[in-house]
Amino acid sequence: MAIIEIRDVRKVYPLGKVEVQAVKGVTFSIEKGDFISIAGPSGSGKSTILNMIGLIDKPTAGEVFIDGKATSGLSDKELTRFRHEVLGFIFQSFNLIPVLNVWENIEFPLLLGKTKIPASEKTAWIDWLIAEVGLTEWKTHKPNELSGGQRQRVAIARALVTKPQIVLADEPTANLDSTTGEQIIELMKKINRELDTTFIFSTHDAKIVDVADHIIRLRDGQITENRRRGEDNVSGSSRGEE
Amino acid sequence: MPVTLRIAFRNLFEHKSKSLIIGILLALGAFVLVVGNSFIDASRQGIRTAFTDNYTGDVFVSGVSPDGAVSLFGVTSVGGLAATPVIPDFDKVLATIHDSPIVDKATGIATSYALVTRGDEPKPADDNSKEENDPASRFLFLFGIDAHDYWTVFNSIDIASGSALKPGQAGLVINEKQLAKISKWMGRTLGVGDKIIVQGFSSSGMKIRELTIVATYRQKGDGASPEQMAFVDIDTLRVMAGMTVGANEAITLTKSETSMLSTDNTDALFGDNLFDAAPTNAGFNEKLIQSQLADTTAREKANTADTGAWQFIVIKTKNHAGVPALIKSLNATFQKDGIAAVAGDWQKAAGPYGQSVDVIRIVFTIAIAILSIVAIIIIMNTFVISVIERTGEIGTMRAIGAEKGFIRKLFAAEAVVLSLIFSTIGAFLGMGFVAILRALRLEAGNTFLEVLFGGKYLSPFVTPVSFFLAILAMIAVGYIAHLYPVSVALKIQPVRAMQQD
Repeated sequence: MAIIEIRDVRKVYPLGKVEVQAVKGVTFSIEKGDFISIAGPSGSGKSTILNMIGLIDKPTAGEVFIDGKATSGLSDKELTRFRHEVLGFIFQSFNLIPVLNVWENIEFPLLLGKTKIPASEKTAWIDWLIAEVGLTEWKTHKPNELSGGQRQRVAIARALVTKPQIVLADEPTANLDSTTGEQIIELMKKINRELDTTFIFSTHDAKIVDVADHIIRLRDGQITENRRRGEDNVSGSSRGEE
Repeated sequence: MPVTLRIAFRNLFEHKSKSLIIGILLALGAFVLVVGNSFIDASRQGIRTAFTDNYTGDVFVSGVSPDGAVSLFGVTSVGGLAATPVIPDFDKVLATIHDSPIVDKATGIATSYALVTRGDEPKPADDNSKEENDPASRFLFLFGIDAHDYWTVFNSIDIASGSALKPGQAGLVINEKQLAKISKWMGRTLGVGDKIIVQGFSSSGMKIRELTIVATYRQKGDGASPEQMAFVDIDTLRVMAGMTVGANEAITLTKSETSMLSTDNTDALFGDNLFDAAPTNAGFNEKLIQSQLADTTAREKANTADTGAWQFIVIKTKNHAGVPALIKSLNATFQKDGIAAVAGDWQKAAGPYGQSVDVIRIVFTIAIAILSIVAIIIIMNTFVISVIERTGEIGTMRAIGAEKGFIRKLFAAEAVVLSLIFSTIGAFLGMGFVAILRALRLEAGNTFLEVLFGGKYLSPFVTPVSFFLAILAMIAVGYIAHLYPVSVALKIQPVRAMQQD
């Protein structure tokens, strides 16, 4: 069953007096538990698509369905709740809150929700996540005391803390050296297997693309490739301005 | 601790320079408020103590004037010096006052402005800038008192020389410093037993009397008591203030006089042909003039004190807390009995002196309000810079599920925490500064500063109310200053999280 469905989505940005078409009529779907890479060079529209799936940007036309639900008519409050409950985010620049330590950064999304979690349960869950990303000894450290790789691990744990169905990662390895980048992707893959969380990440690194189960390649806002590992068939399309 | 407060506290230290800029402004504001209010409170208390202990008591009863508010200093009217009304049914009013269980003592008084003269015209060489030629140095504000009970109601002066006025005795009790100034101006040393000529001013005109100095006094405390205050027997005061039998006498006019006064045709009275048409015989002759001048009845009435006429009753109470209730009850009784009298507190009695504190407070408040606006703008700009710098952080929070209300709370918490910490520091610094000033016991040196200081020495004090109000006011400034920046923060879209470098 598709957890995400993108149907003929377009995105146009005004740039001065001209309009830039970042995404030109893209259609594809993502299955639950997928580990999917949206790949393409800079300006291909991968971040824009990720933003629209993450409900932090709205398509100019078309529809994004998440878990079967159309998202275009949702209010700002509903979108916020949706993001909090269903989605997790990993950012290229880690985007940790500088004044909170590792443990507090991971805890932060839980404090934004309406549901109260028993303290002991919460502590055990956060501690497990910290152990899972290998930062047990660093949990009282502030982000500026950590390396890039460690920061991204914190971001991964933070993205998972609300037990989201989907985790979106925008170029998660772009600010990391290649070894650390590979470790981060391995970690994401491990969690994907253990928790059956759908991971969608954008990248332009060919080595990392190869790790994905499902690859969507973009160029100039259009899909050029959409295939599962070991499969040749294209299950999505672009109907842009060919 | 809620996460908003936790982040607020830590951001204070994370952004030290911005926190310091905003904090110093807020601390300075609280400091100025605490110090300024300590001066105003001291001034108010000093003037209050001086007036309630010396002149007005706790409650002050006066007649009612259609021309304006009545105080010890007369009627505040636009058109100049209006007559200070006497209290009607004085004995009944006094009996009503004494009926109240919280009234300790009460006495009638009357007041008048006066100027000491030396019987000559000011010489051209008299330079008013010289202290001895300053009219204030020979000005007196006379209290006409009932020597039977006045000294038992007010016990705030020490007789320096001579002895206090006794019942039935006529004379003047004057401040020793004021007498020294008058002596300097007169060019001779004045003391007990000497006579001085005093001009009394009232709405009914000017009265000149020769008064015998029976005593000089000095103030017991350090209160802001003007040196011009002097005491005379009530009958002398009544004459000088125009409270005479003649003042209340109805004048009967002849028919021709009435018709002349009621004419609307002024040309008929002062026409061009006034002199041409002047009657050669208007009915005046030497015999008639002589007979009219020989009749001194009117003059005698004008110089005969209206015994029983009192302008004010001043009341000392047993319990200060009961003063508002006493004022309310007295006014209700006066209204019920149809007596044209009104009761008020010391501030009403002190008139312009009492209002001076309010004027100072208003000026101070306006100055603080202007400074606050400037501070709000500076703080607001600093907060806006902070919001812009934290665009990515705010975008991230919004992206991972923070509602707008959370962002609003976060910035409100930062503004309040910052304001609370620095305004408390400022308020404590202000309190310390006030304590130092108090310990220095700076002397006022002149009358203006005496009023400002509320006494002869600068003795400011900080009340808990003004301390906490200063902190609250600065928290309000901080809170208001954050409103615009937070509106900027709320416009930040979650997508900005993706655009963070």
